[in-house]
Amino acid sequence: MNVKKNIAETVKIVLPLFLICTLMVFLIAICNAVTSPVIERNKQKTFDRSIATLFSIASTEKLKVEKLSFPSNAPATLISAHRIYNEDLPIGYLMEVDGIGAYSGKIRMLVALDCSGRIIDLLCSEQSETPGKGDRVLNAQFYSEHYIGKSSQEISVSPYPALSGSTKTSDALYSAVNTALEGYALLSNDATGGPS
Amino acid sequence: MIFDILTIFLSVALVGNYVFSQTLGICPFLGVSSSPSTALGMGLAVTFVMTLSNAATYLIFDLLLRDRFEYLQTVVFILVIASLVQLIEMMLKKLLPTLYRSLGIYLPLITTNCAVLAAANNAVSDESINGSFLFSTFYGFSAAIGFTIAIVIFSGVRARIDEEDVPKPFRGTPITLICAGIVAMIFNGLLSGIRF
Amino acid sequence: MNAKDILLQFKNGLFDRNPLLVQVLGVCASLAITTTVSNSLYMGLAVTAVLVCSNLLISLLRRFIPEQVRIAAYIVIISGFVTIVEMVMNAYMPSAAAKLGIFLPLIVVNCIILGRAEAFASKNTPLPSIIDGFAMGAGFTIALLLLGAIREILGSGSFFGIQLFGQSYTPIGILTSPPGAFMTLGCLIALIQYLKDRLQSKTKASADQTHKDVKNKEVEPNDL
Repeated sequence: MNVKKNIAETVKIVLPLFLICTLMVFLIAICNAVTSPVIERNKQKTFDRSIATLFSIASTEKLKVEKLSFPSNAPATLISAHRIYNEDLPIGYLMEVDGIGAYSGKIRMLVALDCSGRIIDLLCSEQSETPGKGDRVLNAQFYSEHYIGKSSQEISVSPYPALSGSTKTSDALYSAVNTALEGYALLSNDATGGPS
Repeated sequence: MIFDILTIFLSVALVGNYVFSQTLGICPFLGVSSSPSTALGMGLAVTFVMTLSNAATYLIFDLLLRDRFEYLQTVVFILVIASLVQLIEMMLKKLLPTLYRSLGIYLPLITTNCAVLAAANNAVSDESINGSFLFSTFYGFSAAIGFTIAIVIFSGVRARIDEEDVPKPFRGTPITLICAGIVAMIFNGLLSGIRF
Repeated sequence: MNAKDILLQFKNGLFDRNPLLVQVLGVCASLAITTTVSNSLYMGLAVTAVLVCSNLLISLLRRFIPEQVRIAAYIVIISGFVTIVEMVMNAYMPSAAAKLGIFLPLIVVNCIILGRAEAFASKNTPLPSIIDGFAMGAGFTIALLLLGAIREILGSGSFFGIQLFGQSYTPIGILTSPPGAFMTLGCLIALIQYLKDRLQSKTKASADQTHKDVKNKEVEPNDL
């Protein structure tokens, strides 16, 4: 008798909670079904647009992107690597990398390299640095002064590119660029036909 | 391995301290820092819960959610944390009554401590953790140690504020916040020299 | 439910019981994201949306939710709406969602929402609960905007991203960093306390009256 009562009590408590959980999961699932294609499309669009800006191409129509797989000993901060073709001619590589050590943890950079491993352009795709501080480093002028047009060797011999007051962001950017160049080196050593 | 562990510890406990440089877990930081002993109690309770919750949420994310139901992350994590806190409370009450008496009052407050949820979220999304269960657990532990350091340091300062004659409008929360700002400035300033 | 009640609720949310400046709830997110005015606005709107939805649903289900597991039920409902708001923002306002970052899912543990669920929505009918959500949300948003405006104008010399001053202006950089956030909020609350003291000493009798009204309407939320 007592056991039965206990069970009834428990059911009375647990059942509404369970129903509420089901209702919320149902609502979230519907919302996910509606929004996830939009989110995917947004991501694809931003990615295409950043390739176009980085490689200074007017239209993205003739663009072909081939995702490259990299060896397992690649650094963990190397997120993805793509080979970019325009009108079926290879025009370079796009490395997506994280820079560690930034003020708010990390920054995510897109680094465009030409076929010989020189930096064409840089773009920051994710950051949450302090406004007015991170921006001093993450801008076209700083990129072109210290990075653009340089190869891995040239960067390693030139003075350390840091801006006082934004040293942490500078560090993160430096580590990101180096990871991208390291990734390029790994891919070019990677046996058959690699970049040339 | 040792280097990775050191990096995690430095970056979440000291340089990227959850309280002072990411402003997470402020509610208990302001609420329960009136004396060093309560601060230490809260810190220990948070360390206990955060380490376990990071282990639990990482496992659940890896086994159930990854790539399939990632959109349920927030709901599942907060439920896991809430039930974990409840479970720990019940177990401590039965098994270790002395520890329960000293930590018990802080435990229910931890569910709404945003540092716990933030640590769980960060541990599954941060690439530098490398998708490892051990690192994720250690991440939670380090973040909690950082929280404990912050709250214990600040409780010492608060003990002094209470003795001072503060202008009337600044009494209570305002002077506490301003002092927290100064302590944060000192803490961040001392550690800004660390590079890794 | 008449216009006077609604006005009183809004007065409560915006001034007398402002969630951030008077009750000092939801501090974590407020300190972290108020580096710019636009971030403050997005955060305020997101919190208001969650607050209104969760207040409505909790108020509708208030007889159905068992007393013993009510907090768990509220947390499920709130985290569900937070996820929905997060998805909608990711889809239609991706740049705003990226700026708020991890503080968007952290709305779940924002004490304001759970506090309103416990103190108001679980004891009132849906309509006042929705209005309460809007009022408290508006109070929080305005507090965030104030904090964001001070920090952005003085800390980076801009407003909504538009540079206000010439090259010669050196911004007070510390205000955009976390220590500056603590101090700005501290000074803002001190200012509110000062104004309140002045107002109270001037019109003591009428202030007491409103205070009583407030007390009758709601139960103090536990110190969350």
